Amino acid sequence: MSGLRCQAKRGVLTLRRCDEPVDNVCSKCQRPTCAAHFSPQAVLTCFDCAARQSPAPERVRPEMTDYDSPGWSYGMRNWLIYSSARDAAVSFDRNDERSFEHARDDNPASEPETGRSLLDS
Amino acid sequence: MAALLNLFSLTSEQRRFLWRKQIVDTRTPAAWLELFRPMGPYESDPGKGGCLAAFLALGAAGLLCAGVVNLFSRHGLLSGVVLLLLGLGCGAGVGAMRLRLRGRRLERGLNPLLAALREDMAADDKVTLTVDMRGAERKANRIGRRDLGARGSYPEAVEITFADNWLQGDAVLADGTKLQWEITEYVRLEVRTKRNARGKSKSKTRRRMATHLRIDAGWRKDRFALTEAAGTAVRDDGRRFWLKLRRTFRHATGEAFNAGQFVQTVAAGYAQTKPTGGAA
Repeated sequence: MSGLRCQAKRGVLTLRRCDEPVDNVCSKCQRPTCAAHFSPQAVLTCFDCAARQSPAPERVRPEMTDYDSPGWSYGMRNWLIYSSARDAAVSFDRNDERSFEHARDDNPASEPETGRSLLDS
Repeated sequence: MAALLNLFSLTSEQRRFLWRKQIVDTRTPAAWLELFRPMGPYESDPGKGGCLAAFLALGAAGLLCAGVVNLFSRHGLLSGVVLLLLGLGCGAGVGAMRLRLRGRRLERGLNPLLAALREDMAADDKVTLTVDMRGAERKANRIGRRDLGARGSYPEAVEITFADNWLQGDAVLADGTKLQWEITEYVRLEVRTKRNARGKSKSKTRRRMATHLRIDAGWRKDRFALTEAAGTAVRDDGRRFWLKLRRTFRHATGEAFNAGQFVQTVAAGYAQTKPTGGAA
């Protein structure tokens, strides 16, 4: 795993690649992931895949005192996106439509299927 | 008691902060968290224990004096030692109360805010903070006092207002956005006083609290632009355009500012910008 960097996204207000040393690959999306971005709810599953498997009925703000626990910043980001969308006074505009014209760069579905793990050299 | 025992596991800097309750420095968010993380047990509700601390201080002084007098009397050696020990116990109680951080601003406020900044800032970038945890209800913070006259069965009532600018800071996020903020806690105390049938003075205190966030956020012009809905920036320094983000949050009794309110306020600023695709 040496040399590889975590492909998960980090940040609460800003979104950027984590780039920490990789611990393992996610068993669902095969993305190289560091220890901090594995969900504690499922074995070897990154936060994105865990959220896809069991979507929350509503986005609840994570408890503020849990700021050191894994996934706290992920939960904060999700809550922020959800609450911003709910509070938005304006509806979708051309900028929102434009974002659908390009695939998300962290979408595992858009990764080329080479038949082997991204960690294989 | 746990807080007193915990005192021995703190670093000298942490103990100094607990005693002085003020710090001004520039560090990484992770280094700030290292300093503030063990302070949770020392936090207490605002305005509680002032009378007890004064009572304990008086008790400690009285017991120590009585102990010294007894030590020098002919038959009072044992009672003198007991009084001295009791005086020292009261003194330790006063010390423990002096170490308390009033207002519960760390565990839900400053610490999660630093954790969010740790996620949003480049690894070696630093945050400058000016922290004052001495509590809002101090004479220096008093901004107003007025007599309210009679209230219900209470013939006297006064309203005292405090403003405590307890946190100032600035930081640069990973996308180049610069944040400068000030957090002010407002407390309005309503103290009603009456005398009972025996002539004893009885008072009742009602506390209302709010936090005002003043955040100036500057987005780099080569990476961001204002949306059509946002209008014009309030300031333009050539490299960044700045927006003033202001919000006031009321607190329920026993609650204080929480980091979610700060993050939400900055996010409202981000909602007024759009990335232009400049180099990150």
